[in-house]
Amino acid sequence: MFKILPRHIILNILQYLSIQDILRMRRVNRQLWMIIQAHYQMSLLQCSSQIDLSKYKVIGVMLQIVAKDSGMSKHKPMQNYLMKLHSGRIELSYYDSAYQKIGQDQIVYVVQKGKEKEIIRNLEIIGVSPQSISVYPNSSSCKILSILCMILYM
Amino acid sequence: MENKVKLSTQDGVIIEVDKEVACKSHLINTIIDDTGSEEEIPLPNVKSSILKKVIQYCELHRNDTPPEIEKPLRSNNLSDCVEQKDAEFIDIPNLEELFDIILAANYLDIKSLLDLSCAKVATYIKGKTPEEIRKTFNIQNDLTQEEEQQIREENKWAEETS
Repeated sequence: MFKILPRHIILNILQYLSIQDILRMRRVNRQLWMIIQAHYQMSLLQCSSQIDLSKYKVIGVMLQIVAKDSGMSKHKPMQNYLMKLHSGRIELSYYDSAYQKIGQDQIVYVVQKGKEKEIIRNLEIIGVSPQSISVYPNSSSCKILSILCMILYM
Repeated sequence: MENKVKLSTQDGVIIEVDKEVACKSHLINTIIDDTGSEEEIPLPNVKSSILKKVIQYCELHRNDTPPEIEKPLRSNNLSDCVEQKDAEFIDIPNLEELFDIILAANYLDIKSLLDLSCAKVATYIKGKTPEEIRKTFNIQNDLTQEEEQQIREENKWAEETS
């Protein structure tokens, strides 16, 4: 059924779906996935804190962040607070080509003291093509161990 | 008569419609601008049953322009994303008819209807399992069990977001 639709209509339908929905379609049918791949491409990037996307026309970004919260803040009152809540924060910021902030997203997660926590974040960036994404914790006890970034681009 | 135009469909049916309504289509609007509204306007790519649905949509929006639909959809219930009258209009269980409306909206150049019908198709995909999607769109599974398992493993981290 999708085969009868012109390219821009398929793109129009895909725009209403999240990256997860699009990825799930990979398991539907090989031919259908080939049609989607003709419009969208995927890349998996490994990075530390800043992701350079200047080469891509980004449709969506999905991040897998592995972080660790020691619960040991240098700041005493903060330490008590963190130990009580076992929580940390990671702030994502995305920038345009001129490195002006065009959006941000805060992830608040619960992690047991001293244990690593895998956080997967589906960032849907629509209508803007960020040239870079910065990921950094805004809690001194929280440390980012690794970031895996999947991008969908045209 | 000046306020009416005659549209001739693929199956030879002539449908008379208010010019104001017909001009929601950029294609028809351009034809009228170029040649006037006296003669029948041939629409060889649209069946009469589909054109009637398209006209029904244009009537719904005779006095307004619908707002852009949020992307991606926040729900697979279209009533949460568009005006109730649009959600009811596009609630078409027959997928073949829905695809015909998409193609007609594309041909007639009615962007808001094209967006609405594409969003409707997306609701049949959003949050559904591969098996449900195959069933809805009558798609054959051409993947082997091993291939499907491999893709499942590769996608695992991305499909199970927290």
